[in-house]
Amino acid sequence: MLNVVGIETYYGSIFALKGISLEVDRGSIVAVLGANGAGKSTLLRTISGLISPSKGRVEFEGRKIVGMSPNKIVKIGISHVPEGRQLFPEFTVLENLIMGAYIRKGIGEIRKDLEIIYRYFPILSERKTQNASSLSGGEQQMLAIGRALMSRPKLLLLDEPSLGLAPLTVEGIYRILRMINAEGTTILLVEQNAKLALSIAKNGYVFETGKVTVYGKIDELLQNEHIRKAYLGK
Amino acid sequence: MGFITEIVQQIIFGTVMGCIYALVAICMVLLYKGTGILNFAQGEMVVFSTFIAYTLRTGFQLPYWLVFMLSFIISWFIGMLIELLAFRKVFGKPHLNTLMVSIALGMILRNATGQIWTFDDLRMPPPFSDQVFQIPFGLVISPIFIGIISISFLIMIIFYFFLNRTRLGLSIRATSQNPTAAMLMGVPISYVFSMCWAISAAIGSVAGILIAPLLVLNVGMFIVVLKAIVAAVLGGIGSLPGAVLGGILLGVLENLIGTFLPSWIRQIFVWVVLLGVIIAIPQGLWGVRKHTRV
Repeated sequence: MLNVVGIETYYGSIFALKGISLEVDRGSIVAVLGANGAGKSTLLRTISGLISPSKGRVEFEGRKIVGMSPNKIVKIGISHVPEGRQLFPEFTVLENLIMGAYIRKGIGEIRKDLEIIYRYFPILSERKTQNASSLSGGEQQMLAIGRALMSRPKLLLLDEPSLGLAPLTVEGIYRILRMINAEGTTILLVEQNAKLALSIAKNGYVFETGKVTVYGKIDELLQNEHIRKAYLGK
Repeated sequence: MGFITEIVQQIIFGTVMGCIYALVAICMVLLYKGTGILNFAQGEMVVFSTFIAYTLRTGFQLPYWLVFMLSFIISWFIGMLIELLAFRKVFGKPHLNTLMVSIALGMILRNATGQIWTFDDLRMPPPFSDQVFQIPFGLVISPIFIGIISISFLIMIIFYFFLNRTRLGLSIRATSQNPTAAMLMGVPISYVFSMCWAISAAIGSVAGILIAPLLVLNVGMFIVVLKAIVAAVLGGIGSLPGAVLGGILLGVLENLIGTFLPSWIRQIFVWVVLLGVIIAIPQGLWGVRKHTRV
């Protein structure tokens, strides 16, 4: 579904991605692991069009998407839940969700999807008239995910959905992510918490300073000596 | 004329000027919130549009309603052109860069206006009768005052509904809060920026046509218009209702001070207010704590 081939991206003069290749199959959950600054977020930003790579290709459903603007990329079915959630703080929960459906037409369908989001995250329904800035960290993360789903993406890019959240909240969010995936949305997940990511993904890639050092099926990754030591603390 | 009458009269005059400040201030706030740019060229943009209206009126002898519409539309496209040529490339650059661009733009427009038309003073024909009528309590009023106040409020009300009830309005509000998130939602933000410039140029043209007959139309009129920046700051830059209230308050205060105090005080008054507000109440009178743009 998504093919990233030999991507090189600079952040200013810093080499953020040094030739990344990666593949995401339809219906799967793929995890990208790695420490801070390994280039994980840069990869997602490159895919969603926020930054353009200096080299390499990104193909989505056989279509080259490098150079497309972010608003076009959303339209073809990629939705990005960015680092730090990036909500609209002065908008209510409901308005944020409506913004998520910005590219869509048809109020009836959008309403139906709102109900689906509220079913995933009932707390958002309770808070729908509150400003996004008044939500707790966990609720904000739920809203960011819900908002991204409102565009009906085929591929969901998630940037550290567990960051700064209580374990119980994280567990809840991951349960919903599994449901979302089971209902047909492909997920590319960036996560520092390797244990968490490996518990949900089918395939994994390990990034170290802008390069993929190890990749493969989760079972293989779990057997890998280097990963066990560096990321799982065993 | 009694003292109270004099005060009320000056409040009426002040409200007229205040409406103009308010109109220009909402243009500046729209640009500041929508695109992150504080536009120091707003005054020159207004003057340029007003000269266009002058030509349409005195040169082509068009009826005034058509002058309003045509200069609104022409200014709309000038705004889009300015965004495309001057500001598209500096989006996201530090404030200093955008500030310099807007100052340079002001200089260019000011000289272009002088070269195309004249550096001399012109008399802009009034869109409404500027005859003065006596009304009860010893007050005087003129159709042009009523015209200015009603058109200004009409525009503000339309602008309010535009921002809150239309898709483009929604896009502008989303972009102003978080441009990155807006992009990720599918908002074409360069279109949004372009529209912010178009709208503020167009609304500015109305302000210029309304006020020019009461002043002298010349290249230097930009400085009168630029006082609206004080209104925007007074209202807490970033707040649209604040800009309207700030504009009217500024117009009224300026007139009262001009009436009762020496004229040199009136000359510096608004700029002292600007300094005072920035030093003492930087969030403005109606401003809310802002979310820092990251």
